[in-house]
Amino acid sequence: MAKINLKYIAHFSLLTGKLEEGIEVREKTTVSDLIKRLEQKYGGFEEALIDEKTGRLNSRNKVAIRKAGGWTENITTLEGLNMELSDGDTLIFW
Amino acid sequence: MCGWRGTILNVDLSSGKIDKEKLPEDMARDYLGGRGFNIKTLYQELEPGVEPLSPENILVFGTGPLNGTPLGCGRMTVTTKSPQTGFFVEGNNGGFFAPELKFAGYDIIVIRGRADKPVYLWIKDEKVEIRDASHIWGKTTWETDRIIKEELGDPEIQLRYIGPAGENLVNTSIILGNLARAGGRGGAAAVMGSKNLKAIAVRGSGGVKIARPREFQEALLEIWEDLDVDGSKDPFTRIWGLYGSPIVLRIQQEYGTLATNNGQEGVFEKVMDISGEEFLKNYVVKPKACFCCQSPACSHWCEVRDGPYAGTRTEGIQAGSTEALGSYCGISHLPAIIKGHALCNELGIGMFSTGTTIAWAMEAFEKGIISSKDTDGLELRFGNHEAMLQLIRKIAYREGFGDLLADGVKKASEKIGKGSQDFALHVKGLEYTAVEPRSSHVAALMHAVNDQGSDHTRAYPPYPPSPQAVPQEIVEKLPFDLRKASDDSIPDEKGKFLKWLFDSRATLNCLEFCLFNSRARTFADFRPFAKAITAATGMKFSADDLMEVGERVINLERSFNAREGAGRKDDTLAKRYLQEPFSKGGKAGFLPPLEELLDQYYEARGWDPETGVPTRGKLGELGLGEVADQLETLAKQMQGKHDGKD
Repeated sequence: MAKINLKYIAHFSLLTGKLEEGIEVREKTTVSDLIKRLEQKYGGFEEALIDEKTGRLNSRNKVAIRKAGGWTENITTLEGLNMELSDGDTLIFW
Repeated sequence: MCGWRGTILNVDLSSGKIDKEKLPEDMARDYLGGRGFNIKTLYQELEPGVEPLSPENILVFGTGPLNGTPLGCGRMTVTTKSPQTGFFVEGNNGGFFAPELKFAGYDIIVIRGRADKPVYLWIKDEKVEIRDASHIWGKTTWETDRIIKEELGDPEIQLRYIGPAGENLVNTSIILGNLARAGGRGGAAAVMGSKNLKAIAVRGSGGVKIARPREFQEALLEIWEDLDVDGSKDPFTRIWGLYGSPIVLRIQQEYGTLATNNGQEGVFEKVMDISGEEFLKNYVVKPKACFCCQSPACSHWCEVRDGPYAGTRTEGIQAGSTEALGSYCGISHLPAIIKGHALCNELGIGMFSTGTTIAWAMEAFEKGIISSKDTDGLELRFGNHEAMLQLIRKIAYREGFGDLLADGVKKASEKIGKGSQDFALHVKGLEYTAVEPRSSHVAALMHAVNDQGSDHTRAYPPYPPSPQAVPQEIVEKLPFDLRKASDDSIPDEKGKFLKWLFDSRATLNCLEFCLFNSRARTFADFRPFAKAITAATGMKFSADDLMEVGERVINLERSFNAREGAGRKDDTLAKRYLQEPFSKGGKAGFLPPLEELLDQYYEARGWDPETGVPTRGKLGELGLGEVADQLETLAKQMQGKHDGKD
């Protein structure tokens, strides 16, 4: 299992009722898996983040990731929805 | 004329002469309005070396062809020669003044000379008069707003005014209107104060004629579609529509670029206390916006309901307020930040410059460079919000230690010395603002080459357009590689991208369309603007024509500064930004390779890479051959003086 930190900014804080939380995910969990999990838990994540037509991240909202000790980067400039999460990652939704 | 009203209002405060001049058609075509009109006028009228606070300096208030139409926001530009930097300085104010000036029949106001006593200008359609302002000299901006409206018997009058700081010739003073719409960093208000001009009041009963209304409406709907809160493809359109810009604090925090304790770090541990979420939840009363804006809440009316600052009511808290008066100064007490914001507006000083200057003083105090003996007894430690609020007043009234800070951080640090210049955060003498130079290559370059000094508003938003938001045919025509420009791990393509960003934003400033609102498709696709301006004015403009106006304006602005001796040597950053990376957070370790970025930028611009000055070839391309002649003549004169000394 990997411990990851989630930061909810603006309307994502309204969707979740939280500013941040820590969760555990299985090894090889991807960003796509995480969004599905948050969709089930809170609702509104897929509509906010995923382009209905392409199934890819839209440009209206952002998901960024900061690996332990690394820079914060938008996941669209990395591996996108298929990016696998690791212990200590911080994901920012805004 | 359609779109424009076709009239320049000239006011000479020394002689009391007021005249109206026809707006030349070629000036309208080549410069469009606002920022373009202003630099054209300033360059044409001012001789190099004019003392900024002398009667020979001028103040230009310019509107654009879209102000007063349903598409036009309330934006306008004020431009003058800065007493703080010695270069030109401009402020882009929002609110309702610009459309009202158009309704009264004017595109531009040019203020010259100096009145022999305090006055204000009253414009009621064709009637223009200079009125006594002795009874409001010394009043705050809010008092001025109320008194003039009562005196003239019309609550709908629109105003631009200065506070005590402008009267006291404070370098960091600004011009305000609508209580909170501010602009003119670098002492535009001090120039106004030096002319004994307290305010300009305007009321108009006319309208703005549209040449082809049906086409204009089509263009308007295209642009509005881009701004739809639910449908926009830009990530900020929706969140700013609810929270306003304070929401970016937590975003900056997570990217490790929230300037804290005078930029010593990029992470503020107490960010939650000053976040956009906290502001909206506990302090916002109602949303506020400029004339005809499609964004529901770039600004808010807010109130502190309890605690030591209970009863504070103000408008316009932006990210800049919570950064400059908050994290820069290590202050996490949001009511004190709101109080500080209110004080800055009422006294007429700029929040960015004030916050940056106070943060510098706090660092100097903590490092033992200055002590309470220097600060009138104030314990200027990071986080001391009571001291910050006292200093704001002292700066505005030039009292005690505040008199030193009233000249801005560059001059203050030069006077104090002892290494404090190394952490005085400014470019060309103008204090740092908002977008951390260590946040990206583009941000660093943007601050360094900005002709009016450190500033984020002329290259906003400071990231490349999204390929998902912009039509593919536009993406393919962009004059930079979008993939490389978007990759911040490399410096590649950042010079070309910034040139495009500066030029395109300058065009929007000439149209006086709000930069906050051009972020999705119209970030890069200017065809709807070309359609709108063509339909409004009846003159044919293509998207490329519009971009050329932006480039012309940037080149003329740089030429104005070049006449004052500016060049590559001035395109630099504070030592901290070049040598001290953040130790933690999402951008730890990054330092911008500035010289490489400058080379890229000058090459993209077609400027001389050694001097950073526009070449004759580039100026000629833009129809600025006479400017090239003048720069060459000045360069020869300087060389002659230099040779004579040798």
